[in-house]
Amino acid sequence: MAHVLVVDDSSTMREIVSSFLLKNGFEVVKANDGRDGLEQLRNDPSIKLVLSDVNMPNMDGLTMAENIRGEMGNKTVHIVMLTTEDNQAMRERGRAIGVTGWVVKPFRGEAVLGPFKKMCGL
Amino acid sequence: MTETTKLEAKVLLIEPDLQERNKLAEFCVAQGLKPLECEPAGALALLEAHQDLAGLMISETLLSDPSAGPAWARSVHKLRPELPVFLRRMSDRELTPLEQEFVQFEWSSSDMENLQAIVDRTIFSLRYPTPLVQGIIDLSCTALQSMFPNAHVEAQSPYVVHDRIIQGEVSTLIAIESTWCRGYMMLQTEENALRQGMIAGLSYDGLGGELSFRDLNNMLGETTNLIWGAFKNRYIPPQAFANQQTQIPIVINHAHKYISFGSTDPQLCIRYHLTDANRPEVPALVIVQRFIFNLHWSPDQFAEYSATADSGPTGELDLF
Repeated sequence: MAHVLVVDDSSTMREIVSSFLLKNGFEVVKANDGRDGLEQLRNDPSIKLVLSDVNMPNMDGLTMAENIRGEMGNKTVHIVMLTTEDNQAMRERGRAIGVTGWVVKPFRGEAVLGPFKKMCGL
Repeated sequence: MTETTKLEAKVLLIEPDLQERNKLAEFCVAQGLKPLECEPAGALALLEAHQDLAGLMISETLLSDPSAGPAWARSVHKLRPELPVFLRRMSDRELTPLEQEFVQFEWSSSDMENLQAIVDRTIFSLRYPTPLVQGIIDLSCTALQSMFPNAHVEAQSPYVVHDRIIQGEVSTLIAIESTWCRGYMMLQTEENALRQGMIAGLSYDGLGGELSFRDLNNMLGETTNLIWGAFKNRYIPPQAFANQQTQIPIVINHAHKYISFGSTDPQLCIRYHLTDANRPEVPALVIVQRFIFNLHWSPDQFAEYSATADSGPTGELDLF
């Protein structure tokens, strides 16, 4: 099974995204902000893809990504931002950090299923 | 100048003279007003049933009593002071100072032009650009459809309200700031209707089992977030994010279902009906949306920006 970490402060979004991924053969772990996401990633080396919101309390998604690439030194996990944000400056910041991709909400599972499977080696 | 939408507004109309009532009803239709006609005895019940009004039109003389109109206006004003009162004068007497406190506008049936001017100045004091109203409906329907994929989502005709009464128990509030506007968006709905809609499966599979009120709050919260994000991506230029701007307190009294933004301007209101196409007998889940641009409003700047604005695709992966 391929592990995906879903990070979103909205429990509704976590459920919507997780339930789609579970139905399509992924194993899912969930976190409710960037700080929680980092913790989950530290404890679960099998995670291959982090799917994260940007605007969250405690630690935002881009800061979490920065930590994953920098402090944790994890260069292999794929990080995709799933957010309502569509401004270029924020995307550029994501690119500079080493984020793999960017999806603007609303979430449409079918549109991203193929690339996600590829990232997880399915 | 920006092309603006002539929106509708509901007004309570208490006019016992049949001829005058017909004349006023025609006037209302021409001005985009929807008159809710009633006798004095039914006015309070109608007021209670319609909490999204824009004003009260009342005749000075009711039931042959020459001062009954101002007395009724006073009763309505005590309950809903946000509603402007338009009093049709039939006598030459000067209103008392007390009456002047709650009768904001006097007019006579021989001067409908004056009435039109005061209606424009008060009820329709803000004009909303047509592409903005249409854009809001489009992006909101997309967001609602994505959160309630099994519902048929339909927006009713937009209208303006002066009432400040909240619909239902679940409401959200989010700040909107651009170079051309500053204000808020609210979503409001009935908790039980939202719960029933979720149980009936209007949303995603797996959502709709044992739902606490927090789950329901979250559902409306995420819907708000999606609409806000889409609005921001379409209508807010990046330079607006750099501005540090002041805020003013928003007053909410949930016990009285009351919220104030400190402005007396009308709020843009759109009601969305979410229904189950397979079960048309089930009442629609109604979600009410309001936009309140109380901190800054410049539709001409909106027109300049919207001419170049283009929203990108959503839901697709942009690989870096």
